[in-house]
Amino acid sequence: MEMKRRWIWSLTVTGVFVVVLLIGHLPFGEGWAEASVTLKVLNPRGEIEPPQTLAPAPRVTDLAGKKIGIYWNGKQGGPNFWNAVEELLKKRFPTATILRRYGPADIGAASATKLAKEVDTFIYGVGD
Amino acid sequence: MSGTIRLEKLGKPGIFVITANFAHDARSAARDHGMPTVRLITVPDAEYYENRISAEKVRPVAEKAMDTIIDGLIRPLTPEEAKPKAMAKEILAPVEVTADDDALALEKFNDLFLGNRWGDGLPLIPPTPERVRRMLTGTSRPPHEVIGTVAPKNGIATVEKIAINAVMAGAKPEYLPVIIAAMEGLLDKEYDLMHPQISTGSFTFLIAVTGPIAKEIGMNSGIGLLGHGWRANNTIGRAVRLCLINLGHTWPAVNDMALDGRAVPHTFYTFAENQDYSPWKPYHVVQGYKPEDSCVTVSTVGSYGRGALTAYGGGAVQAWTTESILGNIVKDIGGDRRAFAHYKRGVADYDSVLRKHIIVLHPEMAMGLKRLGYTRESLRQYIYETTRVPYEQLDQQELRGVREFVDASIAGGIRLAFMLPQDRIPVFQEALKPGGKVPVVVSPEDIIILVAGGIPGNTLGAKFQRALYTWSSHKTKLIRGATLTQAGR
Repeated sequence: MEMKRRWIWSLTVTGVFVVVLLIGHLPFGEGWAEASVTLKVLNPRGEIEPPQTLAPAPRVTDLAGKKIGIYWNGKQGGPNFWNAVEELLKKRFPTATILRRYGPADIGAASATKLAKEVDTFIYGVGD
Repeated sequence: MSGTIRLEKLGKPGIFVITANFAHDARSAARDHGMPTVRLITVPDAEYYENRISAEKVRPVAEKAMDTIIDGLIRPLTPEEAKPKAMAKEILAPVEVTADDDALALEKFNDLFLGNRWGDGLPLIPPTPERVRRMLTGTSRPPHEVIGTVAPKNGIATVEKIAINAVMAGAKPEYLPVIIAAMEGLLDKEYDLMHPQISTGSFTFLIAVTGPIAKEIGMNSGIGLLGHGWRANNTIGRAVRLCLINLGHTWPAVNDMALDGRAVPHTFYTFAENQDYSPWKPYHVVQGYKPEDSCVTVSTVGSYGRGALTAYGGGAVQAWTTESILGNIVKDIGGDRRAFAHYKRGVADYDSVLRKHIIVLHPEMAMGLKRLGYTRESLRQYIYETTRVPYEQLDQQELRGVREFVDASIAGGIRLAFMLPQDRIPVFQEALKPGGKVPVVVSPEDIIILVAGGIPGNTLGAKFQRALYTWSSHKTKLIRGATLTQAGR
């Protein structure tokens, strides 16, 4: 009798083990089975040191009587647009002076220093 | 944007006027330069580009923009503008992808990387730590060695970061020293990488490997040299492409504004010089390296239109002679004479640029030239001299243009593409006299001669302006630190 009970107990334990094992491998679809592969990959991006954050300069309160620079990098057709802007500015602010300057997309340190001495405020365009 | 911020830093308040399509690019550049709240004013692109052709047409665009322009100049800064938030550093930790099986993990990895814009649109090889370690066995250079910073955002290019991108490209470890040298060329302080990384002009790159390493790693330098099917050619180019995206933090239509995309965008024009068939020592010898060295030459070249790759002649269909192809080369380069009449200070007209020329001679052509007595150096000198225009042949418009070109170069303050380097100014001044000859190529060094292709083959020409933001768009670098090849050590 005791032998039979032990035999039945062992059979039950083995059966449960087999069932658990099978469940783990049955295709119950996503969400049922535990994810089995983890792919670790290195980051391909270049590290960037963020620059110190600066605020723009305080605005002028009015354009009347001011020297306004218009800087343009010379792309074709641009002067047609800036000529109109210059004319419209003069119309609204007859006492303002408009200075037109041309140069590379980045004005560069030397020309920037020169222009900064000449104007109170500026409009900068590069054509796109 | 950098110019606007220069002026703001000098205490001058201003606005940056741009078409609406470029607002994202401009804001991104403003952050790069540390002034994220600089004032941008946009005009509608659909109205601006076509109408700028005449004062009449573009006036309504200006009228419409005036209120915004004035407002941008005089409205006081908001508290947010006056105190912009500090920018956070991007965390670049390793990434984990989890899936049910290997195939799904690979899918998920590609979805993630390509979705993050960390690739080139084609499936990638996952840069696992094991694969990157294996890639690094190709070089003796330390993983944390800094090669340079990549425009436009100045991401730091270390040997390890280059190796990660090389893995993603499908390169082999023995290609790594070549890829590092190519990046060294592009990141050289003199090399104008900014322009081809961001410009609306759709230029691209040529990457030429010279010396014994090319053969050792199986690069194609014969028939089909610019095509597909050669792992070394294709993945070296692709690794450079991925480095430029991931280390420079660029993306099309975000901050890489190439309007038509860049030709051969995934691999660039990557090939090797055909030393077996070349009658001369490798190209890098004219750059001061030893014949037994291995080098990489990188160069910005045009993609489409007048700057596109040209076939000067050769091939299996039409009959040709060495002299006829040389004549075509001289005629094409001589055509740059158009720049003289077009030149006008302050006008960015690319017809007014004197360019560098890369001539890829097919082997039969190179052998023919050798038979005619040319060396690489004497050939470039011949082309330089033959294309010069006698002073007496210049018309009034051309004379005005060349004089203005020289004067503008002396005065400075314009784009470098429209200037002569200081050491070439006397050459042009001297040419502007009776008996003088004005060069259409700034210097003989701007005629670069390579030998590549098979038999039969075509002689090809690539061209581009010398530079824009810095003085060079062409560099040769020594391959060094190789551990898996005999060459390039």
